[in-house]
Amino acid sequence: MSRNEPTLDPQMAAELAQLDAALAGAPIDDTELEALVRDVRALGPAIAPTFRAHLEREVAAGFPRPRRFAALADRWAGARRRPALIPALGVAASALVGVIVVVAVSAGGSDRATVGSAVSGDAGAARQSLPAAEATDSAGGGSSASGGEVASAPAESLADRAQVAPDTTADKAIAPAPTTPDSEAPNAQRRKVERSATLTLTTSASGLQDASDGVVRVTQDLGGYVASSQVNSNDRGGTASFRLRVPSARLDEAIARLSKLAHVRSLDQAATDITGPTASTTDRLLDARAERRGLQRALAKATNADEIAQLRAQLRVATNRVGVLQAELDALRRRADLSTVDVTLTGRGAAREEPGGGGWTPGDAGRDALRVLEVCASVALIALAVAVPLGLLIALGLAVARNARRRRREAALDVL
Amino acid sequence: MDRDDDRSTDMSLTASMALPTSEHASPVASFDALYRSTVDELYAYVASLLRDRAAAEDVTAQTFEKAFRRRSSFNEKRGTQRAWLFTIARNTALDELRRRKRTASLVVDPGDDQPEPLAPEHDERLATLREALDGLDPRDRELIALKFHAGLSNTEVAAILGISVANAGTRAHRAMTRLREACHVA
Repeated sequence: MSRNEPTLDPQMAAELAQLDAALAGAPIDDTELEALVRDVRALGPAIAPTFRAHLEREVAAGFPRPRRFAALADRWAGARRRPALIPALGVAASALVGVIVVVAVSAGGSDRATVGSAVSGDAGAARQSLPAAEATDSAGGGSSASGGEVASAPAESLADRAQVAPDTTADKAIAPAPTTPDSEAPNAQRRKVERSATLTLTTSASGLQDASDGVVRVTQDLGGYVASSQVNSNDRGGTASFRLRVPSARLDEAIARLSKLAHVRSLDQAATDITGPTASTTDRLLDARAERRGLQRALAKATNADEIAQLRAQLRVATNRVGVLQAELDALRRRADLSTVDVTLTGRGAAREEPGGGGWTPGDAGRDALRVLEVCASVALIALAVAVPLGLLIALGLAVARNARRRRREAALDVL
Repeated sequence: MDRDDDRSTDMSLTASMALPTSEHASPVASFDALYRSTVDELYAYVASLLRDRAAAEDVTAQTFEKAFRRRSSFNEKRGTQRAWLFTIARNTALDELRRRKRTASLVVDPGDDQPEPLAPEHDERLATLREALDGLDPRDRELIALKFHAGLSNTEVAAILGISVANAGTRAHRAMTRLREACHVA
């Protein structure tokens, strides 16, 4: 009897003890109770001899089943004798779900910009974000992030804008192209997109220098340059940060190659459509040049000294304006032609000298083994995350069903 | 009550003498012993509950078949074999009640088990008792059957009904009191 269970009234307990004694056949003082026990038992229904004989045959034969059900019953009995089978199957199914999730996360971690960690199958792979390109003026719209320039549907007056070449001298004249949309070349329809990327890499403390050298080498190989860099190292590792400028057409390749230098912790990319500002600046530059040409023609025809002086003053202003607009356009082109890549390298762990050069060392084997364990732990965690709630739900469902079945059975007594 | 606290003394004398432990006997032999020691009591209990001979025979046969097929699942830590067996019987009987959803009077086959002629006053007393039993609440009647026909202890009754031992004792006492009152009134 538990501590919290209520105890019987002593008199009640004594009467029940007397009843149990009478039922056991022991002599008791209460003759009425003795007679009651005897009479109730006498009224007890007795088994018919024919049924008793049938039942004894069944018991002796072991309750044989019909043949077609025997195999099914034996298999079910075998499964029930292995109580660990069903939970084991559930865990195996959950582990399979976990593997699928890990593979999907690793595969989904790479996109057009590529991530080196996806190749290595790292579960804690890079985090990427690609915000939609922002329109910078009313004429510009969204753009894809696949390149510094993106082909798009022809728009009015884009052809003449696209043919505005960089003007190194103030006197260079540029003839605007016809504005007929049908006659525009495909190159003239490209949009201007400014792209940037932020890449965070982690490596060992001893690998920090090599990775830093790799960043510079990749940038130079792709025709870019290091705009700024900062390296801090200490006994526990260090950090190195770089601002790279690489040709936008080779940005994807740059990210792919940089990602292979170390473990990618995160990758963010952004793209901004600057077609509008570029087009606007181009238009204003063309207007400024046209105005300057007009002033030059007027100056050539002027005969009056005052008129000549006035025209020269206006011409100076127009020339300055052309120069400013040309500089603006050149800057916009540089923004589209060159992408900014901010790379942060973090070196972890105590710096140690590696005796070898680039060969596969036991340390590399250890790191690979650790990564395998990380992946296995991730799979197990995901399997657990799936199995535990599922198991709880199933257990809850079974408990509810069992309770409902018990209530229905108890309710059957009320029918009597 | 002390007897109810000690599971080792819960089994009735007939059951404990007839039933070898499962550790020292083969499952078949121990099941056979369980059958022989409980078949009459189990049938009496089921028949009292269902009040239909044909249904009682069906349920009795089904109970022993289920017990035979599940004999390896019996866990001594959860109760005695008798309590386990009568739990199966009760659930099977209640399922039968749900299926039929009717109350039938007990049908006595003529000629098979006619009781021996008794003294007239004994017939009258039994008739009074039968009337009193029929007038009991079904749950009280079940208690009476479990205690009188099956000879189960309060602990075993509690295990079968899924209630506490004290609650089982209280219900048994109440059923007995009502039966006695019904007999006196009748």
